[in-house]
Amino acid sequence: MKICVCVKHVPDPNLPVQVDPDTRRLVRDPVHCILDPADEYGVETALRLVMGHGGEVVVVSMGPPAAEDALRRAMAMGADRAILVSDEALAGSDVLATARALAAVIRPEQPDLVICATESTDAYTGLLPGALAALLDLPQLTFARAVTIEGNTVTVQRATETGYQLIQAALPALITVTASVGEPRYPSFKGLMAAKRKPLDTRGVAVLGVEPHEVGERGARERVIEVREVRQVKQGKRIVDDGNGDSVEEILAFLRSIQVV
Amino acid sequence: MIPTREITWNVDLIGRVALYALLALPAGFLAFGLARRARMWRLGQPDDRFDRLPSRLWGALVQGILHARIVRRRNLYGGVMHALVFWGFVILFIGTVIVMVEHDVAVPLFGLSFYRGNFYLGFKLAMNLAGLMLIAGVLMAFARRLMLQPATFESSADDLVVLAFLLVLSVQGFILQALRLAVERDPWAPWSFVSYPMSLALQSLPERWLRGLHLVNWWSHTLTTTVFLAYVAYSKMIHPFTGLASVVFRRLRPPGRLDPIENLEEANRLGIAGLEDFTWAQLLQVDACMHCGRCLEYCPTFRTGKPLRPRDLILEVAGYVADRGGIFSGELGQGMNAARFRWGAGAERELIGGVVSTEEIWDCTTCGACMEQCPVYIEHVPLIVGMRRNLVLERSEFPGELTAVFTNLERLGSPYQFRPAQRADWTRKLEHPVPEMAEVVASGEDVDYLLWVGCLGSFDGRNQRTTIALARILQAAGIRFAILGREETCTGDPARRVGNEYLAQLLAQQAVETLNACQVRKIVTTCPHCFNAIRNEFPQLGGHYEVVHHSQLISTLLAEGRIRLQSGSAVAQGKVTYHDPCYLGRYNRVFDEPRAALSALPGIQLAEMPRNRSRSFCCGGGGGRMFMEETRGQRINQARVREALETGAEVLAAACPFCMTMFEDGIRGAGAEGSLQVLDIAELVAGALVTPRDDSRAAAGAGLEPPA
Amino acid sequence: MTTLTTLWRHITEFGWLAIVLGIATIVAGELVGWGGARLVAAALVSAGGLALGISYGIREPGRRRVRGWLARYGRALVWLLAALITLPAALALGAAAIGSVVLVSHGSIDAMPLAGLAVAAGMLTAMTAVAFVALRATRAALSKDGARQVGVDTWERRS
Repeated sequence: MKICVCVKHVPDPNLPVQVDPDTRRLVRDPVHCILDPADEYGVETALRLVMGHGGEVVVVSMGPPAAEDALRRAMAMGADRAILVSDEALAGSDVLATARALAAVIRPEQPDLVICATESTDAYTGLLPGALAALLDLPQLTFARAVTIEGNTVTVQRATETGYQLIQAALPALITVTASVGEPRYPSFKGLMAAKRKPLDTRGVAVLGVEPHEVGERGARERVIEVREVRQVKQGKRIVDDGNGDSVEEILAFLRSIQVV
Repeated sequence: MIPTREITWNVDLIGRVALYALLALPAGFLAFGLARRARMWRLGQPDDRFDRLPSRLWGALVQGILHARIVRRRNLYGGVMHALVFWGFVILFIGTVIVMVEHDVAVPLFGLSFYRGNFYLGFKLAMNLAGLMLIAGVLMAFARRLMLQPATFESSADDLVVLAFLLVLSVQGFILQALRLAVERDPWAPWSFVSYPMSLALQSLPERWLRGLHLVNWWSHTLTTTVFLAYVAYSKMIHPFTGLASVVFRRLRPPGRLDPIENLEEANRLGIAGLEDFTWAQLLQVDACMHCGRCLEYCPTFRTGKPLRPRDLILEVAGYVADRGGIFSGELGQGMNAARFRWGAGAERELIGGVVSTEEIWDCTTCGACMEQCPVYIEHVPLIVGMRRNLVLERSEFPGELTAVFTNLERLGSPYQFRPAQRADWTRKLEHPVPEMAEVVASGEDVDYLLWVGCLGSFDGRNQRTTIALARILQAAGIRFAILGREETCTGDPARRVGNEYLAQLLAQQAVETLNACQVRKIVTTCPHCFNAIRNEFPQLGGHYEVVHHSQLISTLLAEGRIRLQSGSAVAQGKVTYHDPCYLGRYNRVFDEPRAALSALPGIQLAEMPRNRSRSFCCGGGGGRMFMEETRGQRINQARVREALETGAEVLAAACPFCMTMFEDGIRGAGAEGSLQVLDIAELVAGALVTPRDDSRAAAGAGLEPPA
Repeated sequence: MTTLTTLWRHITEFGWLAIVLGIATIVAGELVGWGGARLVAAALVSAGGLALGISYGIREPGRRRVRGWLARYGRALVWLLAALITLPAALALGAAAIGSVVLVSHGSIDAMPLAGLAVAAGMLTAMTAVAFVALRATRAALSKDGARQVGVDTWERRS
């Protein structure tokens, strides 16, 4: 079985976000960029599936050369090899352009399964998996909280607001995973060292067979019109324990209302 | 008539021949036992322990002959017992050698005889005394094993057989002497004050009987000696050799320093997972363990009923080594030694998981109480960290709570999910600003101290109060100090103690680079873990600084009169008990300064907990334990809080942010919120500080000019 | 160097040779009455023992035969040794009692011999008790099930 996992090199979400006022793009200081924590769940899911069924995990990313870090990290976790789509011409790509570039590298791999995170931790569009599934002509199974493969069928528990749906599709397919699929492993030092020697293939636009005008700034049909700072609103309510136990009920009622319990 | 006696009296030719011929057996068995063990030690990794030989030998003398670590105030019974057996045995052995020198060297070769006259009389007296000491010690040991049964004890057949041998040997000695005296009726017989009365009880019997009994007992004694000495090779009685070797080759490097994995990126094997991963010194140490259980006395995991018991861990490893060609010191009755087979039996077991459980490996708080107590200097903590290293670096198997710690350390330079920019947030609560080192260097100024705040002191609300209190004290004393602010990162201590040596080295390297870039020379810190890392581990990476703990600096400032205290404290009155942090006390021997600072406080009496100073009982937070759930056994922090409560103190004085957090939690857990509060030494001192404002007010009241 | 290497290669043979020579020396010395032989014999026999011990100690262990032998005859050996070690002493200590009885029958007993009797009685009691305890533990240790059983017992008592 071959699984392709799409990953992204994103600014550490724990650090303050900076936006370039001129280009209106996120400032991506490579020193403070990491493998998107949301993608770690995808890598973990792929590794677990391969552990059970055998096969290969290929991690795929599009980004500047520094994005190699994210791919190395995924390989340190256990992925077998990586493909990085990196080209000056790709700068400024929108979701569709990114999907085109990724589809162009994933298609010849002929994977049984493509795994994406539900959304990236920097742009949070959540649009890429759909675009990718359409370009690759694959069924799309989203919001997976558990993934199993039996024979030629993939089954996911699709998380909903009230519970989950069981969805099946024949392979090949594309799935998006949530943080409930299982805690991602921490790469061992052995893994980190091994990842340095694992194959990483960097491809430019020329070899992808993508027309330069379809990608990058020129191919982008989305435009960032304006970037504004949102005032942080502190939400929440203080419940004081008056000793008669009502506070517990009150908290429980609140938690139920937001479906946490 | 000159007092003496005929050596080998009443012994026939065959007996005299046998006496010498049988020497081959004990010599052979002893050599065999030691060679077989040494064969295993040689499989270990290199470790230079041949430096500073004079202090190694001196230590062996102090520990071995003078029993410095064996006779301890808190374990007098065991100590005195061992001293009696040891000295009884040694004197009797020396006596045997003296007789041999007289009989086999002095008389036949030089025609000299010294075994006579006053020397002989004194000798008789000494030998009888030594025999009595040996018997008394052995009986004390039996009483302890069979009746007193301390919780730290576990007896095997080997223990009882060794003791029985020692008792029977000394009884036989007295019997032989009594029988000879009953026949010979030496006029100086009363010098043998134990055998003499016995000889009187015997001497009415026919001489033929007495001689017969003597000969039978002589043969029996010779046989007993031979069998005993041969048995020693398989028994814990090998410890006079292995134990002494372990003391000679003990660790002389600072105990708080874990040896790094050199050339980590090229290392083939990471940590300890099998026989070939131990150092030779570690293999020697596990063989030197004589199961005495002293490591358990102050062990936080043993005392709270967790799977990790340092002695059992060592015995498990000793058994693992024995299964691969060594000898277990206590082969007889090894089955009784429950410890060795807690997780299963069979030579094919893997070290981690099969011989030592992962629960044991992760239970350890690295407090060092076991190493402090061990009479033969076994180093449990490096052994445990070695196995952690393998689990983390090679297998990526560790308690799930650590994943977030590692990721945060990697990305944010602290175990917590705080941004580096927040490091200096606490300074906003101060009246006077604290400069950052980068500004100081840029402006070409100089400071007395860099205040290394540490992650807890920077981010944790409770520990920020300690940091603020210390800053106030330093400002009041007119000390020029600065902080690193957002440049500060973790020293790597938590990563290192949980076995993530790679991450630890990266962090320590980064911290050293930052400090060197700022040309830091003197550092003060509130965190004993940072203190230990900076003092003992940074020099390995080219970071050489003079580092003091804040309790040391505060006590100096008090002693020099640079800070003054009011007659009453704003934060605490009455009884205060002080908890020695492991990484400050045991690992770095800072015991007195924190107490001096507390004693200087007005209206405060210092009450000691029963377990204090080098015998302090861990708070449960070290060795990365603070970041892990404590699911096994009772809570260590609550056990310590209850001990503090029993002193009647209202304040538990802490000197470590880890202890602070553990005790805040422990006090709530033990339901002692009303009766006990935990305060850092800095908070206690700052609460009684005479600030410049107070000074001017007092001066104004007294009609004096305020000091310039 | 070569001598040392040769010596090392034949250490087992030299060990046995030293022991045989040592025993011959002591036998001859005692028969002739030459005291100097004792030191020579002691040195030769001990050196031989050491050499053999080291040479067997550093070899690959092949203890299975010894183990099997011990498992079969171990208990008998323990009883034999226990008897050889304790019975003569017990006999002598018992003789002190007989001696005291003789003294009493002669009507000439005073405090000292009585003290001697007390010492002997104390030693006998201690030795018997200690030997009993050690033998019981050894028996348990040598029987496979017993060993485990005792181990489990102590384990449970603690936890």
